[in-house]
Amino acid sequence: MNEASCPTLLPKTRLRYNRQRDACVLLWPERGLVLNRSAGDILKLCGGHHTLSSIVNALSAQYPHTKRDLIREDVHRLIRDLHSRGLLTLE
Amino acid sequence: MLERPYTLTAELTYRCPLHCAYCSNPVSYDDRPALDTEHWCRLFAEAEAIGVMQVNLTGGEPLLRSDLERLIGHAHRLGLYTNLITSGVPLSRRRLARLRASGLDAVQLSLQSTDQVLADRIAGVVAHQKKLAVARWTHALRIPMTANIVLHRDNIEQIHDIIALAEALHAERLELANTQYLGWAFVNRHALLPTHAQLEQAKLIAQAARERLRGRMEILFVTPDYYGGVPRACMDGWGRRHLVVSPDGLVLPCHLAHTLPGLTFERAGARPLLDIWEQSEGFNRFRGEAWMPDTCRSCAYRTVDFGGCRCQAFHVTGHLEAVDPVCRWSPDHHLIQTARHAAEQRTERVPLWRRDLQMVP
Ligand SMILES: C[S@@+](CC[C@H](N)C(=O)[O-])C[C@H]1O[C@@H](n2cnc3c(N)ncnc32)[C@H](O)[C@@H]1O
Ligand code: SF4
Ligand code: SF4
Repeated sequence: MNEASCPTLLPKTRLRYNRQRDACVLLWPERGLVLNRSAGDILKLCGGHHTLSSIVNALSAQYPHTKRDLIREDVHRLIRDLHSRGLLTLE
Repeated sequence: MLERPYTLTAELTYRCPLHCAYCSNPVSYDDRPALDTEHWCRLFAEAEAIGVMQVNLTGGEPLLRSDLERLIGHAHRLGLYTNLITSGVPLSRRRLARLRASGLDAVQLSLQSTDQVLADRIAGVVAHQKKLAVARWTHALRIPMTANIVLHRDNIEQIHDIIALAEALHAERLELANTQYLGWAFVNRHALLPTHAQLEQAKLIAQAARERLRGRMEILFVTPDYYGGVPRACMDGWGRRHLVVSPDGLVLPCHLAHTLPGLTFERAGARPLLDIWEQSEGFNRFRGEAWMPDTCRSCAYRTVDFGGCRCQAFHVTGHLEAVDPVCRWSPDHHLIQTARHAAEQRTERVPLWRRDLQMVP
């Protein structure tokens, strides 16, 4: 995993907004994750068209009051976690 | 506060062209008419409105319903994740393409074995080759697939080949589902229960494969109940996350809850689904900890297994509130040990009982 990797959610996953929980949810067979706001914003960019560094850039623009280093850490932690669960690939 | 349900398991019919000797469906049931299209659609909408995000379309064999396309389309438009759980047998490639076009998100295909003769013997009909074709169509149509195989004494030693087959079929997930001894599987328990050595060996192979295939194929090894020592968290706890609706519309916390005596469940549509979820007598009977026997109430593990499986407790011990007998601290645990002991000792072949009540040698 490096700055140029493109995280891509696997086809079995669906990223949806759930109105009852007012949150984005990531669904796959028999399982799901209710995401907090920033995780939802990160995963919206995991369709294979954005590199890790461009995701960090986009999030920094979206959350101007949060330090870039913290955002970077957040993004990397989430991507690593979902990768180890077999929910996304890193091209 | 009571959580809202996450998934709805819609049992569209109990009918099925297969006769799997391990089938966990009820051995007998009142053959009341199944819900029609309108009722299922209304139920999906109600379920979505109270927070359900996924619908499992299962049975019996859900493909026997000619309105499956409409049901999937409706669930899809509601934003529900749709998962078709099927034997694959009554399917054509054209119909699968139609189901996909209606919004089907994923297919879970059950297989019996890697060996055609054994597979068809377990299923009670000739089905194996057809299933392999269905798996190929699923891949060709780019539908994410889970391969599900119920493990028992006669196929568990094939686990290596089973994993290889799932890989070759491009499954994204493989569920190695150790038999749950309920329904027909309870009737056939003596024939199906593996030995401890068989299980340990299988577990090692599954673990190694899980590491090797990480990121390519997700492998789930469902805990083998009779050898676990503590029970599974059946349904993630009674009435905590899952809704199951039987073919005739009973709203249940698990697919066998209506086989327990003395519990009252309500029919979908009789009153708002949220009221049924929150208030129905059957749902509340085993929620929380008040119902638990002292052994569980004083046990730290109760927040992990929620007191185990009620259906198993009842069908093995005859008592609804008993400690799940697979638990090593259950006063009835000897019943499980006896079954295990018999599995270790037996050498002769045991006949299998099936839905049509014929013995198959
Ligand atoms: C009851 S079946 C209904 C759907 C369809 N007829 C099929 O077999 O795929 C639902 C799922 O439960 C699995 N299953 C059936 N009996 C089981 C048992 N005794 N223990 C564990 N899983 C079981 C099946 O393999 C299938 O994946
Ligand atoms: S497990 Fe077998 S018999 Fe039971 S519903 Fe599925 S295919 Fe039919
Ligand atoms: S005593 Fe009850 S809560 Fe504790 S492990 Fe056994 S079944 Fe679970």
